[in-house]
Amino acid sequence: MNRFGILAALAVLATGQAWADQPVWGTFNGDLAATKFADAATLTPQSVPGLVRAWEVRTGDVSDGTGEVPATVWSATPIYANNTLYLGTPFYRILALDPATGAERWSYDTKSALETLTQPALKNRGVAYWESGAEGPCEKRVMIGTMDATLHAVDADTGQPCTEFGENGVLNVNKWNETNAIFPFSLLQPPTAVGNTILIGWAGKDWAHTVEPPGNLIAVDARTGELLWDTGFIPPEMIPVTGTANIWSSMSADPELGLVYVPVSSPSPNYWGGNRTAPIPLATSITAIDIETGAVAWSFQHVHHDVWDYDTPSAPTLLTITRDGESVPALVQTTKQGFIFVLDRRTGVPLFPVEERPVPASDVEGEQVSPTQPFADVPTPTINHAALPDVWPLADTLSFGQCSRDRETYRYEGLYTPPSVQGTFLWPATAGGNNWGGAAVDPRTGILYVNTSQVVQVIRLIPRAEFEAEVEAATADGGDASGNEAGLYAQEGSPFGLELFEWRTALGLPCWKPPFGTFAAYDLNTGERLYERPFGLAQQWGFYGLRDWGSPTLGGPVVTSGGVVMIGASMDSRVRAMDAATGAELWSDLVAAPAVSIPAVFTHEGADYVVWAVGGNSILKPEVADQVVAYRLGTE
Amino acid sequence: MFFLISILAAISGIGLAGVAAFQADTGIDHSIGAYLALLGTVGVTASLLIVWGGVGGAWMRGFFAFLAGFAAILTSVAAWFLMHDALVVAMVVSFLALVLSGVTRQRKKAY
Repeated sequence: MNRFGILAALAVLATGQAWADQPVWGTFNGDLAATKFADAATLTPQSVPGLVRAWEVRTGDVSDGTGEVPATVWSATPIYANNTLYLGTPFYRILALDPATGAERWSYDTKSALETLTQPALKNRGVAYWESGAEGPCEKRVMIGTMDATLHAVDADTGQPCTEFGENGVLNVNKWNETNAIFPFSLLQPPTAVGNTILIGWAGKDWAHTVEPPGNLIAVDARTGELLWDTGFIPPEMIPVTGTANIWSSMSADPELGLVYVPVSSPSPNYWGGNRTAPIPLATSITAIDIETGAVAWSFQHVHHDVWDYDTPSAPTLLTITRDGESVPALVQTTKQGFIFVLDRRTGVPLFPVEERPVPASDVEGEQVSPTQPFADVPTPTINHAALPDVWPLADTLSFGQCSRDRETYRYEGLYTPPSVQGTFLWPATAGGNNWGGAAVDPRTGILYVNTSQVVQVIRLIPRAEFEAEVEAATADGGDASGNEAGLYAQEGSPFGLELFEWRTALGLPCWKPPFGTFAAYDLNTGERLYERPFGLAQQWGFYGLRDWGSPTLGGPVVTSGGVVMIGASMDSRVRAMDAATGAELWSDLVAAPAVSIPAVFTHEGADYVVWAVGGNSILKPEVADQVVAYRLGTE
Repeated sequence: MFFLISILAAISGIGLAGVAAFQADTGIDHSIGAYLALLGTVGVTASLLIVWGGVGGAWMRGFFAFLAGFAAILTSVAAWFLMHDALVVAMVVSFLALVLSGVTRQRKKAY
């Protein structure tokens, strides 16, 4: 090797070493295993009370919906890679920021129309990052999707479009939307890059119609956007009568096994299944797919014939656990219904017992729910399914007994009580339990950390002949004609519309006894729950609830190697650091709205940073924001 | 002197509640709770000023003094649920100063 070659080799080694020493946050969940584990050793229970704001940025991409622009929902996880912080916004722009100062390096505007084509609000969960390993323009790329189904790829250093990708850097993903195409493939969740393959899921509105686009996973070449394969989740013979079972959430992957693990959602429509009584084995499942071919390797359906919208909500987390003295490559899936399924990720076989148990039958004409559903008692579910939470005496008293009367009115016979015309309690609510924020896992210990909403809803099916009259009555005072504000949904094509609402008093107090949200830790090697405690503060009319009441949450946690959990997610617009060992709160800060996102935790130029996109979500409370806020330890 | 402290604390409460209600990103801005707290501080201050100004007879002044104290307690409770510690302190100080002014006045009468 000549002198130049030796120097080049040393340069490569040096670059590689620098990369290895610098923990990145390269995907929505931090890594392809979706652990949400950050090797940020300085963030310890002793140090985090000293966290200070390093910088704050307002993107300007926000709307409360009162003007011409629809309301925004922003749940992006910042990506830290290439010594830069990348963010997607709900106006479908990419921002590249200096991680140390927040100064903008470049921005890219997709110029996507700001229209709510498939969602109640403009929505974005961030960007994806891909790099080839070579040097040169577009060898490192940032990708963002839009609600109108385009995927944009730009150079990570300059923000210029990568012209070899799609058409001049823009891939029209909707060209593969060929069946029942009544809405576009909305790309709200960033795609997943595995090697040189970009894996694309999409969002729709599976509550709206009976027949909709059938869900699929699309794999394209990272350089060109060329279609590699397309795997569908609805059996071909069912496509004329139903749809979706799509992937709207994030994914995880094991490149060594060559598998991508996808959270598949429920078929359409969400709350009535009389059109789809034949089995749809891949719906509401965790499915492993061969990255090279798109073939289904295995699938685990955790809800049969889903009529509760219990979509698989988050990327399964991959880790190694110890069983009978042996290391087992495992996968753990938190679910809306509160089960924590732990599977062998090579085969999909459960590592803790999963039992098919009888569940209540439907009393709705034409509906045929499954007679059994899978139950996993270990690890202990994050939701107590044994009974509906008790009526909260405070709310019952203040409502002159409304809550008690409701309890007698609506149907509840345990988990998976089907929707009914009389009204059925949904416990847990359709948003979970556990939602897209998923869980964090410390891979060194096999301990899982997860936030859970403890919320009760009521669902009432409305015969078609009565539905329009109910919509008219609900909107007679000038409410939203689409029915969104009143919680009325048409489920077009089915014999029933529906009404969905939280079980509250007329004054807005929850009718069920607190806590409304919890945080828990589990040892996945044994299935033991280590602790569970109320988390966050609920808020109504500005007033905060008591600590013991907790808060519903949206967004997820990150655990650091120093033993701290960083999490926003609560109604009270706080971001928090908690002791991973006990769940005790160590530090908090008030931000502009609920931080309904997963933070990015990374090390930049020797300092550990925690960065949240703070955007809010009307599911929790009306405040929206466009704040990016970064924290690091204060200098002594 | 205690009565003056009560008034000053109530006026500072108006400022604190106003900032919380109208300044962005306070966690409670533009909320019903913050507006109620602001209304409470205005009520306390107005009642105290009526008493201070000697409007009406003794019965009337007593009524407004009671009203001011009651409103200060309610507002401090509201402020506590709004996690607005400074407003809690302002309202508690206003209430205690009002009580002490009454006590000292009674003592003066007794002597």
